[in-house]
Amino acid sequence: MKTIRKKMLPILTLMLVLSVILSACSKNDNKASNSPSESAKATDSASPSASESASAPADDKPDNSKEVKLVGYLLGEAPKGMPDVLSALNVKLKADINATLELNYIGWGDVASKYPLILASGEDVDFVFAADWNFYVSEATKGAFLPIDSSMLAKYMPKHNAKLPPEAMQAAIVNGKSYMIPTSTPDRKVNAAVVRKDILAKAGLTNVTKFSELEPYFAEIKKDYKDMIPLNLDSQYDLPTPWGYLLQEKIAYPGAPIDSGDPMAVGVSTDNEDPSGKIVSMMDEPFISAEKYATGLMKKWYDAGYVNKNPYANKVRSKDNFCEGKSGVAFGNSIDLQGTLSACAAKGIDVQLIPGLSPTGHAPSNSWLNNGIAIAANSKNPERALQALDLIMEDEAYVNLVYFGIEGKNYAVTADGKLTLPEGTTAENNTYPPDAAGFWFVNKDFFKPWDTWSDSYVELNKKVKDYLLPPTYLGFSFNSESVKSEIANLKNVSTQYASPLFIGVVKDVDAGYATLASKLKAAGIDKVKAEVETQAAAFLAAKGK
Amino acid sequence: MDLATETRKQTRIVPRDDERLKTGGFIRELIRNRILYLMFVPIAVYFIIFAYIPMAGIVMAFKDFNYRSGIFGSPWNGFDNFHYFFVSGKALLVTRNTVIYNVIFLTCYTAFSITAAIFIAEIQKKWFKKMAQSMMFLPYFISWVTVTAFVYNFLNYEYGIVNKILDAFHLSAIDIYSTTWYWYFILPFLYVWKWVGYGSVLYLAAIVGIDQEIYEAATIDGANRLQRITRITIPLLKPTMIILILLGLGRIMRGEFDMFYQLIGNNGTLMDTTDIIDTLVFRSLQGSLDFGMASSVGFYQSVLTLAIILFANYLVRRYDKEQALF
Amino acid sequence: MKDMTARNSKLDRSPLFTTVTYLIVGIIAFVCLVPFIVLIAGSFSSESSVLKEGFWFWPRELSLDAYRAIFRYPHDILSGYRVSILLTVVGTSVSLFISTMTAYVLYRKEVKYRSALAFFLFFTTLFNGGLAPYYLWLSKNLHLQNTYSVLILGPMFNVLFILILRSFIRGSVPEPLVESAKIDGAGDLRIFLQMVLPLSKPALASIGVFTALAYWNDWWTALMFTNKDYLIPLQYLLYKMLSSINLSAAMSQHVTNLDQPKETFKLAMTVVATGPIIVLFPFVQKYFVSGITIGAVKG
Repeated sequence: MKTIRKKMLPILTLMLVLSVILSACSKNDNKASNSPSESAKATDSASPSASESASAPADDKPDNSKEVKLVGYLLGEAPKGMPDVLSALNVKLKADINATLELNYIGWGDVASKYPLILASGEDVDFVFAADWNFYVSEATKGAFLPIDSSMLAKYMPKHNAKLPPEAMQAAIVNGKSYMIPTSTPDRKVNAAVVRKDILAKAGLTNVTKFSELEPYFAEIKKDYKDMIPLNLDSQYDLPTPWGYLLQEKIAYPGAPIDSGDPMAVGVSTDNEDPSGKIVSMMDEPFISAEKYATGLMKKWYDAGYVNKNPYANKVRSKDNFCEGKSGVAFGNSIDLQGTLSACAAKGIDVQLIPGLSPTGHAPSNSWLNNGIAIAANSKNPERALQALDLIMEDEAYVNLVYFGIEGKNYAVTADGKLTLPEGTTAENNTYPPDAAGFWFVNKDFFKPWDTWSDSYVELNKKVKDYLLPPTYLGFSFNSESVKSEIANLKNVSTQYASPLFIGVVKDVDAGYATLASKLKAAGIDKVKAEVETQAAAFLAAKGK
Repeated sequence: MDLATETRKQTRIVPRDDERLKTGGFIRELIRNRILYLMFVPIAVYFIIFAYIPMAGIVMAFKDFNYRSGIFGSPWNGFDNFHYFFVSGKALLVTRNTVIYNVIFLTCYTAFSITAAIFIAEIQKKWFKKMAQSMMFLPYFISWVTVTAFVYNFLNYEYGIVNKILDAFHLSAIDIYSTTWYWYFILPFLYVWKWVGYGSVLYLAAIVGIDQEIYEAATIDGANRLQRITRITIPLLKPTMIILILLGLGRIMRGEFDMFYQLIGNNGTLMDTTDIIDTLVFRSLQGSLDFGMASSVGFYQSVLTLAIILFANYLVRRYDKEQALF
Repeated sequence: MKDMTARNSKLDRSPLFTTVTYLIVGIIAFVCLVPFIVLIAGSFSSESSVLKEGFWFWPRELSLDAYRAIFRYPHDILSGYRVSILLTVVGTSVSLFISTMTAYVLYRKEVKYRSALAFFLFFTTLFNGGLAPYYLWLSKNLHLQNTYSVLILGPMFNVLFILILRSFIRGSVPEPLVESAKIDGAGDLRIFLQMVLPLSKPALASIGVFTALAYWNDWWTALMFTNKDYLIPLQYLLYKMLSSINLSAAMSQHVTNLDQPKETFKLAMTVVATGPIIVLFPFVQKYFVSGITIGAVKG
């Protein structure tokens, strides 16, 4: 041992020295990393003066005399046809605002690792995709984005500013400033379950409006369709979904607790249609009895064999094998179910949609922040980036170009004003498939319907508008910075103790909830609730103003 | 080549002047063996640049990181980043699980790899040997995502192949995904299946490296195949075995994250028996991008591993200095 | 390798022993092979048959959709192969040579601080600063994004391999051999090049395979540090394709491609990525190793 120690000592010393040297030289690089953010601060402080000058009539037009190259990051993968679309786009941008664009993509599976790194590194980046489901609040807290004020918007994004209600910018406020430019058209979608009409008829069901009414449908499947599992759930999306539908029959549940936004989690929530916006723990009334009702029914179904026994291990979503006759219900929302509906229509399967609605027959409208764009804190040309985005988001020709590609090559318009694929282009060989390029924040009111949409889909989309109701906390995003340890543990406890309750695989429902409640308490749900209450009260106060 | 065979002929043992070597200071040592130390320079430079410099970022575990101030400018926050892990009440459980699973994996992996290597070495038909080895390597290429899909296809309750077979024999179906004890076998089995090719290549290389003359001498002395295996091959594999086990211990706090994450995922029923440190951390931090919290537990794992490996290395050194890692 | 068992001894000819040997090896190999057969069969199945009836030992409904999806832009795949092969060949050669050289230094008893040096290397496997500092250091300070250098240097060395090599060298190059070479006047470098390298061929072959596999399978470095098409190795290309398929399946309102292969794509992806290496490697391996050792002897 002695000899080891003797030998270790110099090594450890060496390492210590080394790491000191290293941290010293990294400190230098740190200074370098500071400089872009300082310049960001500079533009930050410059913006008020810009807004002052904006009021002066002579200075109304931004100065675009110097050509700039803007770098943007979006999510997903660049479609094959991107170079063509980009060069067409750059021709337009060059003519309009003397700028060109370079686009990079952060792969769908790598967002959690790469997105913060790109922002942290101060690499050349001018704008990035941003959304509340994509770490907006936490990244804004860490200083990743440039604050945007209304005068900047007015000056550099006049078209978007005209379309965007002030609430939207309000919703984007984190620690007193907005860091994101939300889309002017948040998605309009409701969750929906798809069922088969022929089996419904066999089960003697005619007008199903509630999910719990489907029980005879499940029994019929179990009896006569040997290969089909009534509720064939996958581990990611479907697992908490039927439980959520049942919960919604009793209470207007936001779909995920507000403290984490994770549908797999249980935590602090609110009744969406309660105008006073009381914040409650999901272990308290009115939630707990609704949850017990949902779990009770799920348990009944699970025990009867209506639910697949091993959803945790299943990676195939029910909407993907519904038309193959493996699943009795397909779960999705009014946007992503389109593929399922068309596939079933092609196979001659008649379906019915059951939207997931609250007791009053409504669904919460989507947050303003579900799609948007942010300017990177160290962008060198934030003004020009804003102007470019104004065109991309709100100019019809731009919107069609970035979203659907080149007319005549990637899409065409039929005589009755519907979108279709041009002669010789199929969905398979289309080099620029719609939705794929990551421009989800553009003004979607410019979109025309596709000629391939099935009738039930078009019908659903028509109804969606009527279902939607703005919830009390529309636009509220919880900043979990001060309770992040507790949130981490709540999530962890939820997956272990709540997810069995979602599918009903428990011996005793009451005992299951008692365990969950005690675990959540130990994980600090009360502290989180207090924090949510504080922030929610501040939000409501600001909204009331 | 010439030099090697030439010197091999004259394997007389030259007594080394150990005393002379041990005297002298640090600088004299560097000068004396300058060529050897120079040969170490490339790797040293590489590891300083690609490992030691970024290693300074370990301080993030103790900081409240933000982009404006950067890694070193961000304020310290003591052990706040560690807080969530230790108050979760599961720190001890997952640490224990991690160690237990890795010990089981390491044992099974070593046993199977050695067995496979020894028997492959015994095979005389060259094509069979090559083919068997290539086949054993195939699982290495199949990602855990795909393995998970196959396992589900095989074991799931409703239409898994296992239950279909049981059904054919009029036996009642089994629900493997909700029964804990199966997984004590399934997980090590899959681990060994995945890595046996990899391990056997290493042991086989060690066997091939054994001096043929030793075998020839033993054969002349009348040793049969079995005796040659137990008396020569296995004892001579010991150094390789020790080094591979020590290296395996270096990963004892980590574990095959993908395997656990893909196969078990969020299965609450199995979780207490299958949760390892990495999966707990992943689950807790899903949906948040907190560098500090992510690196804090990594630091905890590193410190524990360092302690374990120093102890194991100390034991090996007591037994035989030359077989230790360092 | 010479056939060492062909000598006369009764057990040597025992058919029982031989049978048991073949049986054990055969069973292990078979268990490893079966899932791969299922994988290949699945990759040639239609997506709907896999969703409907699961995987099987042969395609229940033959379809090339998954391969068609992969090879839709053959130019990209070829470029992916080109980058991957380039990285693997260059990276493995350099890495193997320097790793063995390092292992040799750690093996030599004369090196008084060899334990310290080994610890210096091993320590890096235990502690690391995490992803963020690594990324920031390489991209912001060293400016290695979008270079071949980062793809080669990133995954270049594995400390475990170096330490394994050291133990192999110790096993196949007896100490006295080095001593007598020294007495004959050979320098440390010459001993390494002309004696240690040739004698460690089996070790070089196996560690060479592992290093090559590490390069071939490395998509992570490319993911982190490149966004230029010409730098994309095969595995990363396939990874990107899969990710965009998943994306369009999850997000899309407009995609009209109904039977897009997803499950089968994953399987075909493995076949495309591993096929060449499985088929070619046993042949290439031999030349690779002799290339390094002969090159060293001549140089």
